Amino acid sequence: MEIHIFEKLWLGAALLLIVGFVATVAYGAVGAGVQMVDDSGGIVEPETIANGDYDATDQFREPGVYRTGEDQYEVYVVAQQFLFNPGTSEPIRVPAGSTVTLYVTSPDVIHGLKLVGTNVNTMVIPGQVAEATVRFDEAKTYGIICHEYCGSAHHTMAGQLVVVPEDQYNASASTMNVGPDAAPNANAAASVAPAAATAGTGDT
Amino acid sequence: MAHATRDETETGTAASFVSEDSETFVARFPDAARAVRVLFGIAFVALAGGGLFGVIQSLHRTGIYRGFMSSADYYTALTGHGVLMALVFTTFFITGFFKWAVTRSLGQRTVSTRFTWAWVATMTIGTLLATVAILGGLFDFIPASADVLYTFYAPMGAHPTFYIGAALLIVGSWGAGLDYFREFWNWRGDHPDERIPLQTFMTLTTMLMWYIATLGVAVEVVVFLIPWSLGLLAQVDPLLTRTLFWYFGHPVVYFWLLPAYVVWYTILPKLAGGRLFSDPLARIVFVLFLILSTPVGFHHQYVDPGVPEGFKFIAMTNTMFLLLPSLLTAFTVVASIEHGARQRGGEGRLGWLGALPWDNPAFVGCALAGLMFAAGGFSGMINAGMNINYLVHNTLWIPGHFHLTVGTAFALTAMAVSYWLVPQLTGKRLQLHGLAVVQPYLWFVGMTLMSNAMHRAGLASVPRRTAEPQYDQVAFEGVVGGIAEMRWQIAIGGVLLFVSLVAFLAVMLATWLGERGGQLRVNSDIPPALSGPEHSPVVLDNLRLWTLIAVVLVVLAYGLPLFDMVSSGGLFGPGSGPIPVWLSAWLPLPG
Amino acid sequence: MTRSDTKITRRGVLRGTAAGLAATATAGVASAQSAFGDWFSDVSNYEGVVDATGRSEVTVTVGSEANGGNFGFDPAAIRVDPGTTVVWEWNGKGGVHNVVADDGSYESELVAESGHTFSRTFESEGVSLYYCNPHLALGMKGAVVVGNAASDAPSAGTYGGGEGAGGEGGEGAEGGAPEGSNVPLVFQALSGILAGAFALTIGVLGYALGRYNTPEARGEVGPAGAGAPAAELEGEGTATAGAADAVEAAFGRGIVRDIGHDEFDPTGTAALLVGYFLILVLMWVFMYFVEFLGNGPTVIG
Repeated sequence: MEIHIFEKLWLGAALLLIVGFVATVAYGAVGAGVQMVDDSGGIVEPETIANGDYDATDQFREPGVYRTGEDQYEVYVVAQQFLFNPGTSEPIRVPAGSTVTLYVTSPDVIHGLKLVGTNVNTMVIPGQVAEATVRFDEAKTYGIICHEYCGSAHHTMAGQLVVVPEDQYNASASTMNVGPDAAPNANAAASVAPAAATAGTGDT
Repeated sequence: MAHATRDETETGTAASFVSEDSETFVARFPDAARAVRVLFGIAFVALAGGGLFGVIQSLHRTGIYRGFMSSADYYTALTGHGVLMALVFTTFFITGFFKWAVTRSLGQRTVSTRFTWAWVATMTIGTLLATVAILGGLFDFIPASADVLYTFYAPMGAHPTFYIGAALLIVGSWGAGLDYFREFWNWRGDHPDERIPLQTFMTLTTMLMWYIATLGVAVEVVVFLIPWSLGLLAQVDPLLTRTLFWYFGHPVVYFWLLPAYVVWYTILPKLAGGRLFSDPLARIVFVLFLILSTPVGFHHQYVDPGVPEGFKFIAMTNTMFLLLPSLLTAFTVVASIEHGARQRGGEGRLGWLGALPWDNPAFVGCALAGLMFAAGGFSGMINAGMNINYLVHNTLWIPGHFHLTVGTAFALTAMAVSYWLVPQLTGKRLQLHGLAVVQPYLWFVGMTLMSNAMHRAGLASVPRRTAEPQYDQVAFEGVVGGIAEMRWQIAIGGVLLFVSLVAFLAVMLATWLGERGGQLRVNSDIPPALSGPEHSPVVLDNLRLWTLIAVVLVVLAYGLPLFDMVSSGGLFGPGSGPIPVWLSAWLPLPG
Repeated sequence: MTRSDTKITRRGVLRGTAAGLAATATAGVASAQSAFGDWFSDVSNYEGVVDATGRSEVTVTVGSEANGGNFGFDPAAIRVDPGTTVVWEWNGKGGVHNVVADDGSYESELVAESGHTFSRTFESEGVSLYYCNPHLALGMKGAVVVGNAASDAPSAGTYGGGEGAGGEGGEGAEGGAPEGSNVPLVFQALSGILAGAFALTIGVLGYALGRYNTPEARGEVGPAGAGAPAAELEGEGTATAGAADAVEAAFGRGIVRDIGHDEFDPTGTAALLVGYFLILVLMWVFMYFVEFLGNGPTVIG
């Protein structure tokens, strides 16, 4: 079968381009250290989250910010119709220079979570826990939006994540447990204690 | 054999391609022509409805004008726009177009008109059911709603008629495929040693890919969603159903793209005044699509929890290789156009571009669609890049991308080829010819404005699928240009597109209402390719072999992930019952 | 910290959105009540204050059908005697709800289950505005009027024990009255003018271009060797004859020469594709290394 020489050259160029793309992506994964959201967050029944029954699961805990190490934080976020908990009524607060792991799940429908202006972007699927580790180096305020249609008020679903300058970060005031049982003026000290008691890993 | 219409094996001078029989398609194949007319008619009605929703959306979400409907109703419009444009308009137009292509290239009458009408009716009934369910979101007297968008992710639940309608639409399209195969087998009986005519070859490979692809969504809808919405199933696993959808969701775009390729490969060269550069390369491209289109679905789920990164990486490499047939197409199609331009007297390295028939609406639409596809292909390459997907996932970049591909490469090509084909299907002259000439340019300008702004807004993290992407807590900063300016471009672009759409429909309507008889300005004589199929290996025509390879690749790509999902939570879990999006429950819900 | 500020700000932003032609789409039922400010302006099941005086305990349903789904309190506004206990009872519909006082004085759990209750006894006279946090934006709001406060608020009948007074299926469709009723007249007029202008433009364009004669109708270059120009195709019903037209028909019009397989090298195509290739590479590098990797925090685990 005859193929015109130009076509052969173009075929070669196209293959080169494809290999180049794959190599770039591989570099991003290996060299720049970008990892994809995957199944490491585990599974949790949506009903468990809907009922706030956090003791019944190892994969999730009461929504809030938990300090798990020197500069390590874990943030448990529930995305539901039509708010992020925490995030919407109170911003999520973490200090600059910290490594934060977000654990996100949903008790109802599929949502999305994106930090505006960054590459932190994940789907939130009921039944699955999305785990994403991010390093926040500079102090900044990020908007959080839900980018997957989740119902008639989807366009109101937003929140904030505030990266506070390290010296201004008051651990007791910021690691608030904003879960459903907390009264509006929750004494934050109470929620720091569990984090300290279960330092490192988040199981009860 | 009195025509030079099929892909002959001779090469030679122009004078030998005299068509002895200048009867139009409708005169030679009245039954097929009628079926195609009905299919096109329904397609255009869907296009009109979808387009109306589209212009309303472009004004609403940019905040320019929100008076048509509330923001909650916006999602009904969005569902209507997606379903009517991307499922109804496409499927009806494509099955009609393929019917024409197979009939013309095999040169024989329909085997069984009853069978043809059966699948057309199935598709139509399904469409009506689903459309009524969707419109129930806007009108109270319809006791149903389906504000679930065209991807209908569980656990958001729509009324059962929506799912049943969608299932019937798909089943009808399976009937269409069988129709084309029956024609082919009939022809094969009389021509046991000939190469498959190119248009039929392309149709059959596309339908084979479609059968493999629709398996996923058929299982999702029939096994899971319909029983679940009727209350027979307590819960479904959102991750599993979503994965089954995207198993289908990627190859469906090739179901849309390949018919456009059929036009660009087989009709566009003639419109440009030339001949197809290479028939064998075209066959290779279609075989590649048959093999590679489905095992890539995970690239729509790059940021899904519950799917291991390894599967995502495999999907990424598969997707990157799927670029190859499209890049090859670029060469062959542009070379064919160049051939035509030079036959028309064009000279120079690039000067031949001016010698093309830029006042022929069919040519212009196809050429501009191809040009826009080159840009859309690039944004698709970005989407495919696994980790760079973090930047764009579910932002406005995504609609920016697909309005270039299905919205222009497919839709504009469909409109363009209609200018050429509808006269032959009806026996009537194209009316409002001048308007037809302007329409593709208007579409191109409108789409350029809207899509470039969508891409840039997406880079600023503006979300898609959102009625009011303006939030108190969040400020968007434009990366290139300002947010307000992007909004205006989207709105203006959307309005221009709507005007262009109305122009197209006006031309079609005027033509339909015109008188029969008289001399048409077009015919379906297609000169043979410069390099014909006789120079290519016969194995290319071995459809069984390629289908087998395609199935093996799909099993490899999806077998393990699906097994993984099912084993970690069962077929139905972790999951929940339907969370209804309907106004007043028509059926009792489980739990 | 009251929620009223945030709420009004959000709606204020919606009204004044983007370019000057923005029109508000917030559902509007009755005009704003001076007693409640505009608290109930986007609450579809509000029809006035239901009289629930003379009882020691009053039940309000949480999750009644309103605001485009099950996003309502029923009754939305009630009047009670001082010392009455209000019991909010969830009906299990509409997802998770809570009851949050606008002035912060009480807040329930965020729950979805049917049968869940939250109570509060109201001792002093006054107006207590409350809302459901996740569905505040949809209009899930209510009020408890204690004693003789807000005496100018319209009345909506007597408390009937559970469902009934106001709200239930009142509006049906989401958003209540069509949004057009809230769009200021000037915007409606403007959009009407625009629509008219478009229609006129298309009409004129269509008319003018419909009479445009394409080159082939005016006569055009025929194929080499055929000599005569293309037959007048604009004629009515005249059969055209001759190989020239047939050849032309096969190729479309305007062919001047014949280029066979061995004579054709697509150099123009090659040039275009080289350019395209370069653009692809440049755009990819820009997108990946500048836009993506330079875009701030990224997921690293």
